[in-house]
Amino acid sequence: MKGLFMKDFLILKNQGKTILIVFAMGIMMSLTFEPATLVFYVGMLGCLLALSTISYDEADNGYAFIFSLPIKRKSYVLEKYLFIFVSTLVFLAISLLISAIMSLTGVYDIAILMEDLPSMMLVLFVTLTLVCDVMIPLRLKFGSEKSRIYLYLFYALAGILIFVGQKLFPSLGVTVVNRIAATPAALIVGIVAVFAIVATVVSEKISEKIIMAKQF
Amino acid sequence: MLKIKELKKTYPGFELSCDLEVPAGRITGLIGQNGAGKSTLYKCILQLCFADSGRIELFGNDLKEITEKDKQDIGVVLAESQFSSYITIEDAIQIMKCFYDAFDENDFRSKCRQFNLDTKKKIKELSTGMKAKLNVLLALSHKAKILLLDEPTVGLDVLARDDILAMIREYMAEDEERAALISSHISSDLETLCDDFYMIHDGKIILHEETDRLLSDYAIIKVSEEEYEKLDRKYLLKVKKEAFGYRCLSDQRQFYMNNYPQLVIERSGIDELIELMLRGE
Repeated sequence: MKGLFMKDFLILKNQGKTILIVFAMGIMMSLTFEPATLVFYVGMLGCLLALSTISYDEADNGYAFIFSLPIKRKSYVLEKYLFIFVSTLVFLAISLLISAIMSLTGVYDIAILMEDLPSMMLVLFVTLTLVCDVMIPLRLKFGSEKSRIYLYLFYALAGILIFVGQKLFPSLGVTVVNRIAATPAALIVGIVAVFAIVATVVSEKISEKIIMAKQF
Repeated sequence: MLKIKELKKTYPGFELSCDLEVPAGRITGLIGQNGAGKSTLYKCILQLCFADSGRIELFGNDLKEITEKDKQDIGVVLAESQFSSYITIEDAIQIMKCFYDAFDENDFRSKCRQFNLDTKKKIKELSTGMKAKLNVLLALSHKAKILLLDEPTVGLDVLARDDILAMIREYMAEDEERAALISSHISSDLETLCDDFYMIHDGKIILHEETDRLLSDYAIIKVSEEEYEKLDRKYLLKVKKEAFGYRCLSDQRQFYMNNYPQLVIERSGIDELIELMLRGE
């Protein structure tokens, strides 16, 4: 698995210019909008960059070569989830560090940053978990191009379900929001964490089945 | 080293069905036209696709029991697949170090210098010939016991092909226990390199022969229609009608040389052998 990590790390490293642009854009957006925007933007784009290593593996019939290397197919899937998780954490850590430096030097208003950051991090965590847990199996199954279409269909379906739900139960949204507001923060974090772990384990098992059945 | 027994793999409109063996210390060639099933066979051996039935043994074990450690002993070149073209050769070195315990970095770097491969270049920046050399160098870089090389010289000029064949020859000479299965549709590559070869057509092995025997005992006999009528045909493998009469393939050259000294009897190369095996009757 070490070799797979090295491969993905080097592919990501070769996108150095893109990464710099992501940070620059994040900083500019945080200066224009809220300070916490930097963490959200960099976390989101960083995760997507890590996800893009799947496209690099897929390009030019690359899977055949990768699976001729001394690895097991299951290791490939596990590594992909770990790599995306770890790289997103690194992107988040660097953006938090930049936010801290900006706050200490007085560029950001630390009070606003500290007020926005927890809820922003929670939303980001839920969003990224959803994106990754849906995107990874889709990309492994259908490839980069087709998976994008399926992802749009997935989000469209989710949107329709929310819309229909709102029409059928108009007060449901308000009730849910009120419930969330009334729930202790620690409990919300706990629920989100359990949800993320369960969703990720299910997603990883699905991805494993997909890759085990694939022929190249 | 590698044994394939009654392997079957079916795709719509195509069936691979073959038996093959690559003993230790041998270079075995696999020849056949495009679409004959060469790459499918390699993919079955590497478990990139799954056989419908049959058995593949590698290093004396069933393929299903092959571990990651065992896979370190396989050097692979695939016809249409390689490292991501967006990484540099330097990156590939770092990756190979992680994958293969026996990766010889110093030797690999010196070979890169010898073949003018700039390690700072991305793979996509290399020419076809340079990419092919890199792929073979990578396969030879970790002291593999068996080489599985699918069309390692495809699309190359004569000089580049010679370089690659020389690399393979040198590698095999280093350890007499090493084995190789090499596919190509360029017959001269295999004639000079292989100890024996299999000919595959429409997914089936139609010939297995020692290269020495091919070059010494196989013959092309050119005869007129009259001569053909008088010819003893029991040692003819294939016959093809030509404008002048018939062109016949035999694996008993000496028999015809002794009994029909007046006939035109030529040694058969792999190219003519392939042509007559596929087009003759």
